[in-house]
Amino acid sequence: MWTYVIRRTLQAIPTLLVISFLVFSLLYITPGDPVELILGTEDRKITPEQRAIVEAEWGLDKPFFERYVNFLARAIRGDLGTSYATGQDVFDSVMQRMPATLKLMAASMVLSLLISLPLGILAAIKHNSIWDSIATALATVGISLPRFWFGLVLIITFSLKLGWLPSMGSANLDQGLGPFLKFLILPAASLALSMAAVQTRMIRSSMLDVLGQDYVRYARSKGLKERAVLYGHALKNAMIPVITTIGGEIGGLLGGAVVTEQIFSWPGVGRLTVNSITKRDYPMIQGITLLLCFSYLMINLIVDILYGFIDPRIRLSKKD
Amino acid sequence: MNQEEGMNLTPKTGPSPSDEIGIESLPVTSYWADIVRAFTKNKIAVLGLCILTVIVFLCVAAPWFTPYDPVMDMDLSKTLLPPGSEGHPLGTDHLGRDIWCRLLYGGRTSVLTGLSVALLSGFVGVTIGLISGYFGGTLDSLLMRFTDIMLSFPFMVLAIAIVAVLGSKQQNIVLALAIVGWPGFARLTRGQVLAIKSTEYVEAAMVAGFSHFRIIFSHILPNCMGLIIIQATLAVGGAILSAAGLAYLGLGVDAASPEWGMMLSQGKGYLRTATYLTTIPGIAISLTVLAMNWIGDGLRDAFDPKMRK
Repeated sequence: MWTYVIRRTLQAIPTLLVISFLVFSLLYITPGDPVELILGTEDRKITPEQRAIVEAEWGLDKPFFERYVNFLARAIRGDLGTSYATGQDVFDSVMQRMPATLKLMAASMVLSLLISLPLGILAAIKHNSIWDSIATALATVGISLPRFWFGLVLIITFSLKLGWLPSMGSANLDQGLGPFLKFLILPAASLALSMAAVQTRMIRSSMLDVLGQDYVRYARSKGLKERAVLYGHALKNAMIPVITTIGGEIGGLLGGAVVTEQIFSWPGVGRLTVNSITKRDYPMIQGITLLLCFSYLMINLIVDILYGFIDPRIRLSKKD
Repeated sequence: MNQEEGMNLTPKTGPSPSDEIGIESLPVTSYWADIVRAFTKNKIAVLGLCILTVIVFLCVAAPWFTPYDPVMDMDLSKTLLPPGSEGHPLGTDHLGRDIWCRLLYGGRTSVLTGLSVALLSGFVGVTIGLISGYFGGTLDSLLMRFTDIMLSFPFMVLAIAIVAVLGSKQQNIVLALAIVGWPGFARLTRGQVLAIKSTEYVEAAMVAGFSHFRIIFSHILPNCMGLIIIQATLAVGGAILSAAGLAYLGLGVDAASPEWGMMLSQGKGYLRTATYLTTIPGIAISLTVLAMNWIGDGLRDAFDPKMRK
C-alpha cells in the first residue's frame, strides 16, 4: 500500500513542474510593460533610473530561465510574490479567500450527490420506463444550461420575484446555521447543476452495468429482498467508477466557482481572480492559477489514494 | 460489407451471384449508410439537428430576418422596450438596440467560436493521438505524459488565465479553449488507434509493405472517425458554454460587438427591470448547446453497433 501512495505522490511532481513552468511562461509572454503596471503611471514618464530600480527590485532584468528558477524556488517556500495592484502578499491574499471557495464547492458537491444519487438509481432501476426518460432528459438539459445563466435565473426567481433568499453576499457559521445556509443555497445550487447532471448519467449507466452482473443475479436468486440487493450489492459496486470521476469534476467545479462567485458576490478566490484580471494584476493571476492547479492536484492525489484503499485492484496494478 | 464476396465463393457454374437466393433479402449497406439510418431513427437526435439547422440558418442569413444593424442602430429614445414592442419583437437593450437582431448576429460569433474550437482542438488532439498510438514507444510515453498533465489542469481556470494574459479577442478565446480542449481528443484517438492497430487488416497492410502514411490515413483514421465526430459535436457545445462563461467574466469579445455571453453579461445590470435581457440570450445558448448534445448522443448510439442492433 505504501509503495502505491509513494509512487502516486512522486507522479505528481513532474506535473507540478510543468504547471509551474506554464504558469510562469504565461506571465512572461504577457503583452504590456510590467514596470508601467507596477508604478501605475498613466500620465508621467518613467525615467530610465526609475525603470532600472524597479527592474532590479522585481528581478525583471534577469534572463527568462533564471527568473523561472527564482520563481520556483520562492514558490516552494510559499512566496508567490506581491500584487502589482495592492502590494499585498499573493499567497496570503489567496489563502484568505480560499475557505469561502472551498465551502461553496463542498456544499455544491453534497447538493449534487443529493440530486444525482436518487435520480440515477431511479433511472437504472426503472430502465426504459418514463422515469428513465425523464431523468436522462433532465440530465441532458442540465449539461446544456450555462451555469451562470442558471444562477441568474435562480436570483430572478428566488430573490427578486419571491424574495425568499438573498441574491448576494455570504454569512459565517457563527452567525447561525440559518443565515449561513440562506446565503449558501443559491450559489451552491447554481454550481451544482452541471455536476449533478453529469453524475446522474454516470450513476445510471454504472448501476445498469452492475445490475447485469452475475453476483446481482445470484443475490436475487438467493431470495434476497430487492432493497438488500440494490443497496447491499449493486450500489456499492456501482459507486466505484462514480467516485473516481468526482476527483476530475473538482476541476470543473473550480472553474465554475470563479463564475458563480462573480454572480453571487461570493467572497472567494473567484472574485479575487476577476478583480485581478480587471486590474491586470499579473502576479495575482499567476499565483491564483498556480494555487488552484495545486489544490486540484492535491485533491486528486487524495482521491486516488483513498481509491487505492477502497479498491485493491488499483494499488496492486503495476501500471497507473 | 462482404456478403458479396461470400457469394462469390460459390461455384461459378449456374446462375450468376446476383441471382442467388438471399442476395435480395440481405440488403448490402455501407457502414456510413447504416449510421445515417440509425441516426435518423432517433427522434430526439433528429429534432436536435433540425433545431441546430434553423439556428445556424437564422444566424448566417441574419440580414434577411432583421432590418437593423446590431451595433450601429442605437435609439436612445427606445431603450429597454419589453418583448412584443412595435418593430422590436424581442424588445431592445439599454442602448435601444434591437435584441432579435443582436441575437442573430451574436449567434454568428458564438457558433463560430464553438466550431473553431472543436476543429482546432480536434485537429491537434487527433494528430497527437494518431502519432502517439501508431508509433508507440518513448514518443508515446512522452506525448501521453504531457497530455495527462494538460488534463490535470482545472480547464476553466487555465482558459481564464490564458485569455486574461493574452487579452480578450475572439482569436485568443478560441486559442485558450483549444489549448484546454485538445488533450481529450488525443486520449480518445490514441485509445482507438491502439485497438485498431492490433486488428488483422492493419497487420495485413503492414505486411504488404504499405507506407505508415497510407496505413494511418486509409486504414486507421477512418475507423476512428466515429468517436472523433461524437467528441467534436460535444466539444462545440462545451466551447459555446465556456466562451459564454468567459464573456460573462468580462473576457469576451469587445463590448460593442454582439455575442450571446456578452449580451447576458450586459443584461445582468437590469435583473430587476428587464429580466428578458438575460433570459433571451440564455435560452439561445441553452437551446444551441442542447441541440448539439442531442445530436452527439444520437451519433454515439448510431456509431455503437450494440445499440444499433
